[in-house]
Amino acid sequence: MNVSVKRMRAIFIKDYKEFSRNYAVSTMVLMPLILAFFYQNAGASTLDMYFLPINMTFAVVTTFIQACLIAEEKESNTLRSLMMSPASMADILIGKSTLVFSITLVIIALTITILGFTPANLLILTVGLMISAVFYIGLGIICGLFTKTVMEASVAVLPVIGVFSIGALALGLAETYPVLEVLKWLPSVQLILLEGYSEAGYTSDIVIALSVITAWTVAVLVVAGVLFKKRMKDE
Amino acid sequence: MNIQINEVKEGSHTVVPSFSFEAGLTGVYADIKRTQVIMHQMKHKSYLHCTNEGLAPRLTVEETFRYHRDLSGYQVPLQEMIASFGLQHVQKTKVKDLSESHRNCLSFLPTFLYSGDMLLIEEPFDRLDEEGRQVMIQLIRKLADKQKTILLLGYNLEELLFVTEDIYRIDQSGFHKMDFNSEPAAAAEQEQPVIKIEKIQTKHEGKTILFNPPEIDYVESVDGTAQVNVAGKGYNCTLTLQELEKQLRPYGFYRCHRSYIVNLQKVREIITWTKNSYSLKLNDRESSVIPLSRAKLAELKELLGVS
Repeated sequence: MNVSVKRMRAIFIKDYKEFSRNYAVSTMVLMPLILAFFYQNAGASTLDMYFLPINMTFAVVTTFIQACLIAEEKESNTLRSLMMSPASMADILIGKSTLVFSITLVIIALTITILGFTPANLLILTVGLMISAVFYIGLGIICGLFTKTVMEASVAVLPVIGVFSIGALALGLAETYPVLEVLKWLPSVQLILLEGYSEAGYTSDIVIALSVITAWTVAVLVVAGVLFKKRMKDE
Repeated sequence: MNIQINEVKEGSHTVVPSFSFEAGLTGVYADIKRTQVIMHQMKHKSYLHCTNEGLAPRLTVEETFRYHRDLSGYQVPLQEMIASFGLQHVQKTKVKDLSESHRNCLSFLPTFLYSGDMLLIEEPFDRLDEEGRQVMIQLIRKLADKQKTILLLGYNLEELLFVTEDIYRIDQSGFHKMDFNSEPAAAAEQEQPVIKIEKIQTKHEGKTILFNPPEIDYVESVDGTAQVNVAGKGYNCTLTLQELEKQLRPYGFYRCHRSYIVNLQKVREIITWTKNSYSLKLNDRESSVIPLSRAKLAELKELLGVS
């Protein structure tokens, strides 16, 4: 697979311009910031509270924008010519993902600042957040491939919000319904646990949490890659 | 590289016969259905340019050019490229605000840059103004100069003739090269044309109505007067059947019965009722059925060239 920085840059710039001029999509980045502001005012103090806006950012910013970038290519009927162009699958996916990845990091950083949350170990948390960002980008690619328009993409992210962002809250009900213990293995929950462990300094638990998130990420990326390749063949 | 098209059948009916096109610029004069069958078949084998190619709507023209140039890896100055598409005066306009003709020209950009050795273009001049057409002609010629095999599919013959005289038409039996030899036509013009107009005069509610012979479906004798039938309506004619037969014969009419003259161009079916009774079914509006004398059957079949 040939990869060209020039082509990825071209896709990155084009998607950035399209994204920033499409207010229906780009104003979505304000959502987690507003949410963070409310939580800060309401006096969020527990890890669960701090991480709700962060996990929300992943779903409504990372997954949503990534899905939109792919759905938009279909909506404006440009995906076929993009796939017939010399750009390889890696060029297209990396070009688009780099944009979403950068946006995600900026928004998460702003969210954390607004929340006034100081992580116990910045390095470990950053690693966890970055791997999570890749995981949600993969989810976004899958959502994008199953949708044809930006409007459909905004519906497709709802299950992602439901399972991964709200799932972390539902864990609180695990005492009443032991079945919900399974939710512990969600990457969003593992991210919260990771921060808990690094506060307490449990090295082995940190490794476990990071590897669970990584495993999810690898699985999602493999599925996304297979689906995208299949779609490329159909064109 | 040759473009090989395989036969496509629909039941026993051949929609597209098989054919192999040689390198160069070729036009195919085909209706929408055949165009789509061919496009579908070539989907994986060559680059297709459809009429509904899309563009990123929020980029400006200049940004679109830069994006596609960087993707294709061509090293051409941007301004030169924009000028060759005739879009230099709208380069700061967003794609969604462009006129339709400009946008259709611009949508040829990915095809222009990405197409490989083989390229199929559907309706190359669809929805373009005069200026856009000239741009498109230049662009297609430029592509043809690069030794590519290009097939233009369209149902507007005049438009295909802008770029190539190598045009094929399709029917059940195969692809047929169209002959645009204009010499015989020129020779005919030099001769003094003989103007000869034969109109059939009829009366209808006091008015005199003139018909061109090909319009007439058949003539029928009703109570001794000839009635000319055109599009399901009868008009009385002052001439006798015999006079009419003489006048209409050069136009492919035939006296198929003592009291009927039929336009042979309109005969759809010869119906055999019994061994001695026959009728002709016409493809006019009413699908009229008119009688055919047994004695005339042999001659009629000969005239129609059927057995």
